[in-house]
Amino acid sequence: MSTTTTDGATADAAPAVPEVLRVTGLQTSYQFRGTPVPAVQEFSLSVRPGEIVGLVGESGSGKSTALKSILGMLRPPAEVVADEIVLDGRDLRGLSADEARRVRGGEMSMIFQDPINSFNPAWTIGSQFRRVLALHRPDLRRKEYDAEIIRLLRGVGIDGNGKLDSYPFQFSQGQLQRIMIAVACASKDLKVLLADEPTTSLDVTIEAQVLDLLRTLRAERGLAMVLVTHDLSVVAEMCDKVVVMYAGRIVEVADVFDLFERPQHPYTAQLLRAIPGFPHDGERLYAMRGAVPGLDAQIRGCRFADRCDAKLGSICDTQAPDLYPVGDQGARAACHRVVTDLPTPTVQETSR
Amino acid sequence: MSTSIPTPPAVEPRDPGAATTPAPASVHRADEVGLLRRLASNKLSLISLIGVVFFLLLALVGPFFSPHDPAALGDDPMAAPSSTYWMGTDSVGRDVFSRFLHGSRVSILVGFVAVVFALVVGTALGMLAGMRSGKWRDSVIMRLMDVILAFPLLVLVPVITGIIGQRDLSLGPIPIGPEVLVAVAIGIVLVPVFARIARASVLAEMREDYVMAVRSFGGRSRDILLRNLLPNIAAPLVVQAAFGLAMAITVEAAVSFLGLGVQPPGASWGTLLADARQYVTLGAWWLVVFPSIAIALFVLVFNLLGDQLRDELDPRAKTAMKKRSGGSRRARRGAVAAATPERVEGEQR
Repeated sequence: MSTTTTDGATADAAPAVPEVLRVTGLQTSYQFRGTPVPAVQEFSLSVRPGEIVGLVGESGSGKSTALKSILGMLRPPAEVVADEIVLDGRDLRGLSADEARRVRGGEMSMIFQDPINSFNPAWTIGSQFRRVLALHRPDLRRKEYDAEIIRLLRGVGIDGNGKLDSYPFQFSQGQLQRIMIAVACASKDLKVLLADEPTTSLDVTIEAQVLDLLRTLRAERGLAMVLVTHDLSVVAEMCDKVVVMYAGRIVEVADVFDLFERPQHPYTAQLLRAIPGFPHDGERLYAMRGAVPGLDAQIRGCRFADRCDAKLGSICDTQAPDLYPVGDQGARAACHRVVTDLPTPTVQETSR
Repeated sequence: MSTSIPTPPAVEPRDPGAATTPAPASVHRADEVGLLRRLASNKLSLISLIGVVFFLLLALVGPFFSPHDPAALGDDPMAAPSSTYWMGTDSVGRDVFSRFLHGSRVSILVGFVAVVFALVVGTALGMLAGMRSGKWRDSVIMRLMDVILAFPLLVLVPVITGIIGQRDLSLGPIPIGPEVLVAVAIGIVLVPVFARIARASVLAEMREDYVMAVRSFGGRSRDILLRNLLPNIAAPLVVQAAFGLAMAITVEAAVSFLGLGVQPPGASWGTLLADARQYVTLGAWWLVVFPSIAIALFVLVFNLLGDQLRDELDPRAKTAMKKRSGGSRRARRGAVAAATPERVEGEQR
């Protein structure tokens, strides 16, 4: 490995390394018939260079919305408010529309769940790629674009020779996702890669290749990543830190090992328990009862209370828990149990 | 190796080989160049294509073949078709065939100018409205379109020509003739059709992931609009343009027939018919038949073309007809039906 630049930037970098992306107090709401409906509330996130942060939760918990809010992709009727969205020391909220546009794809880019639909079907891969280079690579001359594209494609394991004039439908899903990653990483200043369920639509073997590629990118370029997924095995494999979201709010933040060993929030524990394993004696697979409450639901107590297997009592129905700190490593959990020091009972049952 | 990122090992070893085979390229070519060829392979669309070529030639080179001066008064009025006057002569002895050739050019040109105007203006307005749906810009544009649509075609066109036609207009050094004026008037009337299609298509496309992806890579709004959305909404607009041409021709004929379009010394299919009006009952059928046939054929040809284009360009229809003919499609459906009982059997076992 030839990391002559910067300082290592691996997962076990000292906490002294300043975070490359810091988001606090993010709130995204949609105007619906005149009233704002919150989709994400009190969201915060910090990512250090070379760190992969997982963003986990069920469908509808606001993961993707949070990601798009950070990148400034949402438009009215969506409304994004935040205390700070700081990328590499610069608050993105104060930027003009043009500057914000240059940040997107330049310093922070995003890859999507469905690689097939993420390319414009009407243009060749080469022409779409060239356009991104034209936006973010002023160091290149027009003539050098194709060589650079082929070099970038080789970086993601695709032989681009003679294929730049092919249309997206001529590639497989796995290839397209890797091309998408190459496009996303085309900028030299790229610092953060936001991945919105990048492997959900891929089959398992291809998934492994894409995850491998993301890890390689992290190691080689010291990229920070935010990986949205609902697949906990992906989290276990990839992430250093995990943020668990439920119904638009963060319910737990933890180091990946702690999260799997000692989940602090019952929701996390129940998520872990819902991973199918080898049933021992004909036991039924665990399924969490109920569903994520709607965005407009009026909830007084804990948002997870009516699905929780470890409810404490009336306090859960009447008082919303804060995001209490757990331990001194920066972990947090939004559960009254944390303050009472009770263990989350479902965890023990989880051990298979 | 010049790459900063080394190739991950064991990455889809199958892929490079598969993609270097010429097969995908040929698939692509068939899809790309195929449109004209596919149109030509279908009997109906072949007919419409031949018709289109015929009318284009008629408009472009027809007048050069006119045997007489179309405006020259002859000394043989109301003559039936003969070897000298192929389509007979009118009440003042002008050669109908020559007038027909010149009139065709005017009619077809008016049609094309009107549709191009409507296509460009309508698409631009519709896309602008669609990009900011629900905002005031959208409302203003679309309500304006509704206002235009609220008037009957045949009323609005003369009114517009009347309004703009009061003064002698010129676009720089080029004077704008009455024909162009009629064309623009018809174009204005056709604008809402294209605007609505463009807006609806943009609304649908804006929800596609690729628009989100382009924005996430910092694409400019202009690029999204022109480079990403336009090619993807082009198909329905092209189809509508074919129908629009047929419509523009009939509107022109109708308005000219009423004496409110192309003015007398000039000829168009509509004015030819208007001139013939008084003499039809006197047995001068040749004055009516030829322009009528021309209008009917033109409308038929372009409606056919529009239908065929829609079949070819609609992406859903395209996937459904991916394989060459209906025969193989039927065969495949049969195969699926045959497979179903087997599967049921398998489940029973």
